[in-house]
Amino acid sequence: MSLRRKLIDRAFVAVIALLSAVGIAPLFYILTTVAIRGAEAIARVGLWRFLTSIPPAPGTHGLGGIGPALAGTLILTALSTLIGVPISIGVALLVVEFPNLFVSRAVRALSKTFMEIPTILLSMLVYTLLVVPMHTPSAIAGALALSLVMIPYTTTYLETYLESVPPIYREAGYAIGMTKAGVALRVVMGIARKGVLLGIVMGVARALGETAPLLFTAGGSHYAYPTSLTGPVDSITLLIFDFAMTPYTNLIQVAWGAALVLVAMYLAIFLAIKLLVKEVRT
Amino acid sequence: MTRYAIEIEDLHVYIGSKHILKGVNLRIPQSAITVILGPSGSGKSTLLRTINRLIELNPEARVRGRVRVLGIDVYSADPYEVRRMIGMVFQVPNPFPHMSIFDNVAIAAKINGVARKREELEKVVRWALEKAMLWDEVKDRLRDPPTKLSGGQQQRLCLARAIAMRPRVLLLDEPTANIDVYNTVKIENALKSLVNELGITIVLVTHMPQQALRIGDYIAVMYDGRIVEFGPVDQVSLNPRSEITRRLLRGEIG
Repeated sequence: MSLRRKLIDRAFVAVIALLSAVGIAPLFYILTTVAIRGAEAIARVGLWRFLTSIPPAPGTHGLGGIGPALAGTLILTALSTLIGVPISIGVALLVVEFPNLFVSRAVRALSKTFMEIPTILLSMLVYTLLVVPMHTPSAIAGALALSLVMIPYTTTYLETYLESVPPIYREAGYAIGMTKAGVALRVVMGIARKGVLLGIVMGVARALGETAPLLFTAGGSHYAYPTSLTGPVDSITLLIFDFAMTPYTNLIQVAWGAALVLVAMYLAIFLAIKLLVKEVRT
Repeated sequence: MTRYAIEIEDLHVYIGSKHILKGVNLRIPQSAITVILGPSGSGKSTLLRTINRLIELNPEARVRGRVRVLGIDVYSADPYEVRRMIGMVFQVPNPFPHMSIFDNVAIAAKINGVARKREELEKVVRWALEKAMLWDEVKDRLRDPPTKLSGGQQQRLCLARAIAMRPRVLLLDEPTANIDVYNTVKIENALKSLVNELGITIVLVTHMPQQALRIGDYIAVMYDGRIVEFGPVDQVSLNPRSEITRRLLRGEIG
């Protein structure tokens, strides 16, 4: 009996281990492939040149870089953060601190709904609202589409972290005469600061990696640097999408390099947060 | 003639469909320690929270009746103004964990306009920490987070935070329920000197008869949402009129 139990136990552990390996393997494969192929591409031109120069024209030789796309991604991410983060914080505070207001319930429902909308539809929405009246795709339109992806996502994260602040600290805030706003900003946000930053970063990272919202809105060229916020911009994700589809091996190589740059940007952001922000112990 | 700091008339509190306070009438004398003694679940904490309207943080709570603090009708005044003249210390020590020891006390002084400039703040913080009998233990570590302090020290920090508001009334909800004897004695001594030196009115909730007898000037005995007995501590302890008081003091209910 005991031997049988042991065998069953072993077999079970083996099955679990196998399933985990099957689950992790593709992810590991993708990451190592991106790292190896990307590093190969970047090494051929040098990091600085890869980040700053223009990609090769189709049908030519040589590699060049992803300068305009990188610039576009930085602009789009910064701009969508600027639009999305204040709104997300406001919405999360509203929903958590004033849960019984009609507005809060409406905003919460709306936010959840937006999360379910396919991002390509958000792109079309912004196309109708901004691109058509402005007669051009633009950094602003792209950033708006990205922030529509970011806001529900970040809001949900922030809500979770704000709600996790124990009520005894809210009571302490009110007891010394703080207003609702004072308690929300100085007590709740302060105690949840690590979570709040993490939520923001998750949103920014999400925006950084999105492609579909930009399809109808950014409209930039892979070969031209952006000139204004109301003009078209490119992004790394759009560049990867386009170049990976071409038959040209040098463009495909640029796409691999661009993918590695994107992964590195993610890593840098998360590492910075991990190192810089101290958690509040309660 | 005794003057009253807090006057409560026919106070009812419902939380959801539960009737918690069932017509409380109580007049709390000024510049004295009044202890509200009662078994758990009798409505002591609820009663305390109606005095500074903290009860309203619970969206299910409904309050009916009248509460006057220093002549001000609490439920027709601005709740923030009401809370600014009333300090409160809770059962679980709750210093703000993201602020330093210094800032925990300073923020209360700032919000209530007690002090603004740096030097003034430093003075008030020191004064409040001294009154809470914590200064000597923290004077060299004012920049530390409060989470580095022991539970009893944290509770005295919360007392200092309340004192820094320069309140006229101080409410304490089982402040020593979670801390050791040493810290309990320190807090009790601090409370006595607040009454004697500053004339603050103190209302302390406890379920421990010994504590009520040790520091109370007056005792209000609470049972099942009502005040069953009120009087000076000697009268209540030596000549209890209510059977519930007798049983509470003998430790038969609690």
